[in-house]
Amino acid sequence: MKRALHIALLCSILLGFGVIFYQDYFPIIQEEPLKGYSPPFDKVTFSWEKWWSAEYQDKKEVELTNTFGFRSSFVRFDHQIGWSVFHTSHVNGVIVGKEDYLFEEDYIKAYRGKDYIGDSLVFQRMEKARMVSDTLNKLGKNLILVFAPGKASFYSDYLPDQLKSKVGKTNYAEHKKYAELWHLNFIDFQSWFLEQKNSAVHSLYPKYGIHWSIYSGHLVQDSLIRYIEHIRNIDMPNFSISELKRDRSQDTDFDIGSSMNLFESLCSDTTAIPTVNWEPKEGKDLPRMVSISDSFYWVIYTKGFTNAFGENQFWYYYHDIYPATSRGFQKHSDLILSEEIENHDVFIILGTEANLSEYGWDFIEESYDLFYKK
Amino acid sequence: MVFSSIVFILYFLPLFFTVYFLSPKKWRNIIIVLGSIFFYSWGAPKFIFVILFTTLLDFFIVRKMDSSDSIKVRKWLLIGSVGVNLGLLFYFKYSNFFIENIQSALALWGYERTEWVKLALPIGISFYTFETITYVVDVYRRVHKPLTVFTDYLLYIIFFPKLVAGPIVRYHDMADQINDREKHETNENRLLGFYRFTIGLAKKVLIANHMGFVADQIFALPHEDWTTPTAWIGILAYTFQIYFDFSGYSDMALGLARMMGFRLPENFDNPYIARSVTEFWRRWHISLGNWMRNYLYIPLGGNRVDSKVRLYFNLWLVFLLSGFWHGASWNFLFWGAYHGFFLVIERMFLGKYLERIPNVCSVLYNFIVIAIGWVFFRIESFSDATYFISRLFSWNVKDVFYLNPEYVFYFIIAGFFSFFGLMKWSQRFQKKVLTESYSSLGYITATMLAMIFLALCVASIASLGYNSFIYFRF
Repeated sequence: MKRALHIALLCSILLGFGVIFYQDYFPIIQEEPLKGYSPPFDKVTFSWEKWWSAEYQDKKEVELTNTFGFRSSFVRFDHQIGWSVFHTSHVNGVIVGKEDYLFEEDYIKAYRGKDYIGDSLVFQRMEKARMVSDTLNKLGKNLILVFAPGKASFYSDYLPDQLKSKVGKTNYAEHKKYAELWHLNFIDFQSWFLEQKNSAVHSLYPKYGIHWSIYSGHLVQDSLIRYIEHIRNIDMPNFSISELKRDRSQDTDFDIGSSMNLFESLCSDTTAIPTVNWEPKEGKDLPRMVSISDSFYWVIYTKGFTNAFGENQFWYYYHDIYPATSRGFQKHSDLILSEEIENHDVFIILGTEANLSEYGWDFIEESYDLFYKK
Repeated sequence: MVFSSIVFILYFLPLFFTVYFLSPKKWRNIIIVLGSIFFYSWGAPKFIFVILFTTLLDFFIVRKMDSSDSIKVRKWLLIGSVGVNLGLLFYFKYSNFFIENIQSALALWGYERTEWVKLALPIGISFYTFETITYVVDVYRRVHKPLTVFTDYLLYIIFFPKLVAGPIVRYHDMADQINDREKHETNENRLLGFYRFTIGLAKKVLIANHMGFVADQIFALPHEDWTTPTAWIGILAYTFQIYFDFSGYSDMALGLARMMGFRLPENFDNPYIARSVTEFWRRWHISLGNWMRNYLYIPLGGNRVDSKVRLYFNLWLVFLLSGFWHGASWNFLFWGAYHGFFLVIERMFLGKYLERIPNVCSVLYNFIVIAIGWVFFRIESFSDATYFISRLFSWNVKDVFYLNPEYVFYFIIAGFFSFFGLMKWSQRFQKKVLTESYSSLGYITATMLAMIFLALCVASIASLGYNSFIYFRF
């Protein structure tokens, strides 16, 4: 009797492995793909050369780890346990705050001053920004510094108690200090968001998103256009909101939420999705613009902001160029900076609190070198 | 290939055992050898030839030695075999260290450094070299006859459950099982072995990996962020990580071996409940301690030396070399010397006092000494390690590393199972769970629990992708 039981149990164990193995090669159940970023991998073919160099084994291991049967369900199972049992996130660098507010760790570090780069570095960077701005002004061009809000600052009351205290100076406060002191062109959306936080009708910052909300992104667009109109004394195309539809958070308003990869989607909050009408471009001034920005710019870039401009480019982290230029440039290293400065009127450097340690991503330094290191 | 990888758990393990279980008994040793060669080649395809060559060489040297009646010939063959094996270990593991240090010394005299190609370390070389030595020495001492079939000897050396991270199995302990383990090749042992494997996997994946994640983050912090509470969290996390990582690996090795009918020696016995560093080394990496005692300490004279000074020196030397075995760097040497120092002072006078004080105090003493020692294990730079230790006692409480509820939970679990052995009934419980057979209901429950743990581990591995074993470095 006991022997039969042992055999049955051993068979059931092997059957468990067999089902996973079978699903790998002949999928029984179609699984929903995981959301979020996972590093790409190539399928590897066997050759003795690759075997002896261990390239085959390394790549095969990556391939099997990423494709084994029921992998998506196993990952979701792990994430669901983290969420349901411990109320934590298994997504890299995501911290769960009070009332399920999701934060990226870097934003908390920035809010607390843990990523502060030091007085001298901020001073040097902002002094160079001032000098670049002065030169651009003389050329009839404008440099605009934009400080996007950080989620940890915006929702500091929802941070875990242990992470609420600040430990020193912050990059945001110090950059802003010099921008004010030297009267640079700058917009501080961090302060503006905090001022509007309690009075705003719709959510300015999504509970499950990394960036400002799609709704507040439209307010940002409006403010930026008006600011450029003001400093250049021009009339640019504007837009009006014809309809505001409340809906479950989606798109960038739910980007951390969707990367949580749970069996059941998070109980999503609702956000306002505007429908906008742009004024025709005819008869309007269309400055040529370059935005050197982090991912916060995507939220406005994909929602019509470029309608207010003539030729415009988005230099993502001063590295990748969108859209690809007519000359086919896709990396900033392909560009000749002096020509690009010559060909554009407005330069926006937009960075959120968590990215201020790298603010400008070398654009300020390279522009400074161009103008002052001859 | 590591045991806690998807490729091992979901591909190698089921395929190997399906083939193994379905094969006629006379083929099974060959299947183990082929499986082990594949297992090793997966991670180190070229180094497999180093093992095969030295194994072949030792096999013939030892047979020649056994058949010789001349003491002189036997001694020279012993020296030759041990010399080749230690020479290879020295070449692969320590030449980088010595070249680096000689170059640094010469640089002080104004000589220019020259470039050299750093050697890669064959996985598990420290383990199988020691096992080879046990074979040669055991046959030399006539403790056991040598094996007559080369593949049997190869199986002893290359047996994949213990190949890359131990336990270091003495030839004498395994020799008879290679050709006669029929009475242990039962379905019951296959199940019990599988349970042991999943226990080890859970220790590694669920506890050690979580602790490792905390430790890695803390040790990577800027030095000014090593406040006192943060440093203590870091050192505790690493102390738990290394225990559950290594003992988990040993559990997996024992479990896999048991599934094939082999009984390997236990490698851990609740080391953090030891009341002294001396006792700790009877409970931690037991197979290394035994090896050091049998093949180094006793040949040096053991306890029967003329003077106490010589005794203390031998004791200290064994631990110094043990540290050096763990890694070719000054911090490992220091770690060995540090342990040797405590062993000597415990032998001199401290041991007597530790026996008299309450258990809680002596366990705490041992735990703190061991934990502080791990800092030298974890941080390669000696100055950084000493700085870290100084931060433990700086009483700077300005900021505390954030632990989410999941890490807090795993800290509690790790702490509980580290000191679990202190409870009176725990030893009996552990013995029952790990070694004895169960009732029918017990088997059903254990299989269900094992499958749940396995699923949790696979899910965690798939999700985190954080998975390297600490002891693979050695």
